[in-house]
Amino acid sequence: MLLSKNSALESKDNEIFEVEESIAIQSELIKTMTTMVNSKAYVNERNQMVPEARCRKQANYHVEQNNKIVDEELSDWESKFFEVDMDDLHELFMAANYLEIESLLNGVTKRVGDFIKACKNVEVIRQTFGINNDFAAQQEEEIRKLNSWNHI
Amino acid sequence: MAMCVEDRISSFPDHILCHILSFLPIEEAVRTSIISTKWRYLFASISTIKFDGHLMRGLADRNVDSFKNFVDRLLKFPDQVSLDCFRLDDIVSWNDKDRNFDVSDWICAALCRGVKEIDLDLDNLGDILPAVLFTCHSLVTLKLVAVGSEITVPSDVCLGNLKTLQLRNASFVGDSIHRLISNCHVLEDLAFIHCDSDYLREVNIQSPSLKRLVLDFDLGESGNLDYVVVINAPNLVYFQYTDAVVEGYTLTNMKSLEKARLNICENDSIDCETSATHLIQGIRNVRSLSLTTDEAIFRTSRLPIFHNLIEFEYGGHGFNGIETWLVEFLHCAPNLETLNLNFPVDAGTRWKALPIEVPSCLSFHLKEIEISCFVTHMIEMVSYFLDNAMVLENLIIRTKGLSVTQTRKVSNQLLQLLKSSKKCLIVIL
Repeated sequence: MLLSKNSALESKDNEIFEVEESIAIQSELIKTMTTMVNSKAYVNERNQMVPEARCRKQANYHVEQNNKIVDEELSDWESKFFEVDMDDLHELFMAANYLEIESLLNGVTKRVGDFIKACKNVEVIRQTFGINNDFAAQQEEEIRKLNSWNHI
Repeated sequence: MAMCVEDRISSFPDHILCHILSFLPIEEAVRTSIISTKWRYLFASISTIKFDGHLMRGLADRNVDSFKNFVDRLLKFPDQVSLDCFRLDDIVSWNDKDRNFDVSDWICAALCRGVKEIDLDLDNLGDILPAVLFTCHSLVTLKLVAVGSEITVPSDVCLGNLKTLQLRNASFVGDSIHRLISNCHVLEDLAFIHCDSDYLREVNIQSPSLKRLVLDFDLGESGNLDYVVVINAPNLVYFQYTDAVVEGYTLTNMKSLEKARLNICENDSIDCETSATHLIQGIRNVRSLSLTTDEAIFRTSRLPIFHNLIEFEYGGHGFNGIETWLVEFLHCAPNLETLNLNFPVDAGTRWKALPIEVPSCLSFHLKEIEISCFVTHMIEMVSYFLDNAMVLENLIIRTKGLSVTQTRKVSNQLLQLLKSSKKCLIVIL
């Protein structure tokens, strides 16, 4: 078994996570910060960061799990991981966006896409996401006309 | 019951929302334009435009004009982001005369938007492809399925950024292939799959940048086998070839080749043995070879020595004298470490009294043997390997279609066999 280097990462609300280096650098942000601090071999390098705590925890969890599971099980695990409501998805998105973790971002966006696909029509989309229809009646009519082939 | 849900999604940045839309079929992405003013034009910035047969079949005649207008707006609106991918899939009726879609025009529009990838699966593709496609500098990936259609390659062809080219069911005339490939200076991945060889005299691939090459002519189903294959690709790492053996092979400069996959069958109309030998000589630098044949397609006495070969997979339907042939092949792979066999063995084969020496790879290098489709009368073959493979670590036996009792019986027999390698582990799956 190879000994893996660990990074200790501290979040805004002072919680410390120990994460394997190869996992930590999946976040582009962490990768850049650690390169700036010390590029040579290090153990338990402490990086000060300022993200929301809960997001961090979930991001780390995802990244860690991602690396442990075999490909076939991965898609099952991923579907379950992302089976959360819009609020949680939003938090995951914020974490993925801030930390610049591409795979997490892709998972979140795909899931939101699934949400939209599951909506029967525009009204259901609006209800699901709490979006307010701010079109004037005339504008809406215009759009419907342009999209008559699409049965809006 | 209406719930008070906070509008989180509208706070996502535009490029993220576009990314979300890219996971939807295009007609659903377009429907989001009516959600709210923020969403109105988002769909126009999606970077992948895909139209498929499903969409096509759902289009009523009265909506055709509205759809054409939509596509024009989508493709040609000024100030739009450059396109990542334009795809027309699974469609037979895009160029249905009644509906009169100007597909060439759409392709040109996509090209004007600096599209990086074009995937087309269309009838009469040869007539539809605009000549400007072949001088496009933004294209990185081009995949064409052109059932029975002849592709005309213009003389000024130049695809300076093309890295991946995949052509299926296409037919070529003259030296189109050679001209096309010679003018793709950064081409890395090339595949000709089930293409028509009726008018071919040669398949000539000269490419210093090429890393992966797939030539799949469907085991000679397409008729003409009177052509030669000429390959000069010093950076080629992977070569896959499926065909009946053709007139001739000139493979030069394959010094980077790591893995080859050959599925070849006999061709009675030529000196098959000589031709096949030239083919196999051309790939002698490989580290990993997967070979599927149904006959002793080249004489083992004419085989080169595969100095770098450490992994060999052999499959097929088997033939008379396969044991001797295989062992003679192993003599040409002195450094082999992994062997994978997948062919039926008839009862009464002569593993016990082979007229040749034990190959040196068995004595010194072979660590792993895998036998797929094991049946009971393969015991003799297994016994031969266990007797002679001195450094064997793993013997994997895959039984197929054996009942639980049969498998247990086989396991008992196998475990009783003498092993010359002390650390050999037998795994039965």
